[in-house]
Amino acid sequence: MTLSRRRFTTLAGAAGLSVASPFVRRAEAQDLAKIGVLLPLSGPLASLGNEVLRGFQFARSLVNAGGGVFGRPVEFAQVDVPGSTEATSQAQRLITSDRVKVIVGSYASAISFAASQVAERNRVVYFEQGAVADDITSRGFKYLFRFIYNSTELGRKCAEYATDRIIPGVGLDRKTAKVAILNENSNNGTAVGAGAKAWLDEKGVQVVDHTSYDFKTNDLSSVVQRYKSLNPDILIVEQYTPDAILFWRQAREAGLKLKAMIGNGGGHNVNEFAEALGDDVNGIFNTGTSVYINPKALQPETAALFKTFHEEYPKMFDGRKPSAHAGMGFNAMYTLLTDILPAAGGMDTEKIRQAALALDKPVGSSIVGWGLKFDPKTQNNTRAFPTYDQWQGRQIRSIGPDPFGIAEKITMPLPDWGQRAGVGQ
Amino acid sequence: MQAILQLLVSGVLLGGVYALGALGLNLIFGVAKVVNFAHGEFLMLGMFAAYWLMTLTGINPYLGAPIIGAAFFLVGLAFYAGLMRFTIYKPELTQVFATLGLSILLQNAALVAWSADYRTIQIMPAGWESIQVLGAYVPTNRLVAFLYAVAILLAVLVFLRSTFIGRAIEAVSQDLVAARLMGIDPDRVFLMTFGLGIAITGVAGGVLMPSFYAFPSVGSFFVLVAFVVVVLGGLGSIAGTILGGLLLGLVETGIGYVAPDLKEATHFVLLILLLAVRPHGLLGVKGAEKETLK
Repeated sequence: MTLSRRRFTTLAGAAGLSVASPFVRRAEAQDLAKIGVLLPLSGPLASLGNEVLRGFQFARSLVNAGGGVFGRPVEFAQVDVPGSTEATSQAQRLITSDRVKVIVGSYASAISFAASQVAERNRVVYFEQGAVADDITSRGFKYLFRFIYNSTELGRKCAEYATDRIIPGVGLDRKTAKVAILNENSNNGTAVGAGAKAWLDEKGVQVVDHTSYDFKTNDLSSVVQRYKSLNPDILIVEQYTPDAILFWRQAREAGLKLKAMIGNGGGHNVNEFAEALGDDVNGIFNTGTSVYINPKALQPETAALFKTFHEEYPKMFDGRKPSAHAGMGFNAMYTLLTDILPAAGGMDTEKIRQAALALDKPVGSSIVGWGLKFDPKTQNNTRAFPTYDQWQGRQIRSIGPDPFGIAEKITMPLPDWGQRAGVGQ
Repeated sequence: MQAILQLLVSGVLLGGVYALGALGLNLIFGVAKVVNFAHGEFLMLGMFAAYWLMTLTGINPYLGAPIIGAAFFLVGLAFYAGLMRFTIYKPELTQVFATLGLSILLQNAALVAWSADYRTIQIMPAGWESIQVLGAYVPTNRLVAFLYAVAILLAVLVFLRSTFIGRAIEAVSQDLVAARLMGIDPDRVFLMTFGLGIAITGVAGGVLMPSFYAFPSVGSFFVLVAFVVVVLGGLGSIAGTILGGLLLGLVETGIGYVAPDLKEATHFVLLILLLAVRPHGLLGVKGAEKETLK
């Protein structure tokens, strides 16, 4: 193909404009809320990545039903990032080819870490809804905001529940109780484990074992055997779904006896865990985020939203019940679309940033219980906190902190295998 | 003492899992010299087959293994006739790209068809997840899987030694040119081998399903270990695969008890040691690792 001079000029002009576009105020970008969505939708992290996406989609449909943002329906520009290696290129694609001003991601910490770097360099606002690794927000980024607490905080809160509630609850004291920590060896797992260990050391509780493994393992029977020899009373674990299922099944096969086990999100608050283990999940504790908290503890308008969420979400997704990840995804996207963008009045990144920093919502103003106030320095949400659950009747039931608990009774110590149908009754 | 007995039992049963995961891979490699990078995905499909068989018809995979095997035999034939036939005498790189491409295709097809959810099935009634023998807990699902591994090994050995097509397969695996001179049609042999290899892989996925979970990328949990097992046991040696699996299972369980974080590293330490001392594997034929069809 040969190019005429006129066509060449047009093309060159267009190319020049698209290169210059970040610096040119463009009329149509002002009134269209086009949100970049960056999540692992295929590959080993896809299960929960899709769960977060459903949360985003539900938020979008709710907002669009109410008239959208800036008077127009919200649009997503969506990319699939199976792992951290694809994160940079896909974030770049969202920014240069889809020209988004805001990206919401990304569930997995390694993905978030890499993608937010690209956003920062291009001055695109990045909202992280659920990745917890500490170092994501410790780089002094201006355009990165995080809705959730970090891993160390999660591990610490988990250990705090162990020392303050479980140890006395199972009839032990801090001097004699034996605690073991087991985590898969990702960034997140390691930080959660370290956070828990630090708290236990500080309180003088005996940690008999602190070990890690690769989550792609096919066998944890040797780890179970290790605990049969060490005999811990309480086990603090951080695992993904497949290894959580594998571990608890192999613990059952070997008849491992514990007084309590506490998970930290990941595999311990998803329905697949219960489907794989039946009644033997009952009695396990979990620290993390939950959408099954007590709605009475929420602000009145949030309680109404909570009700809508639980009623409408299953209708939109073939009867599927929302998990914590769908709830966190929903929360971040809904806050962005209903609070931050309207306050910013347009898609100008500086105004969006200011609107996010100015936001001040009390605890109980989101469906997961959190409030929202971004720390001006780290841009972490200072009003996010883990909640506690116990599996009862194969359902995750919120047990704290007050006033978010909903379960009437907390069962501990853990009943023996096969005897857990009545937990919580 | 009790702990050692328990670790031995766990190690042997894990060895069964690893051997099952690698048998089909090794059969195809031994005969057609094709390293099948889509092996993990066929294992995944076997798991999903078991899941759907159980969910839709109520037939559990231990009883339904022949059905899965028959279906996957056809899948294997299609795999050869539709794809591998065109690459079989081509450079290894062509085969790598063909099977790797298929692996990505199958993973994503599974993702579209069945979503990324983790699916599990329960077969053993409550309280029968394990039985106690001499004080050691023997998980029943893994015991059945182990017995399947042994049964498949014996069946393959009998098939290779005592049927005409089996002997033809052996002949082609030992010397393609000589086999051709004896009037054996290698393409037919390759076709049968792929059918058999994929059938074994499908059955393996099916009988492993009750101990594990099915999701589109579950193959990646097994495939790396399968390669290690094949190399350890000896390329092309079916009995070696069982031995390689057992060795790996025992070592991993032992190390896992002392230092869980080093568990997966042991696979590769063992592999490197073996490659240094005995590059053709425990029961492999010397030089097999260098063979191609040309």
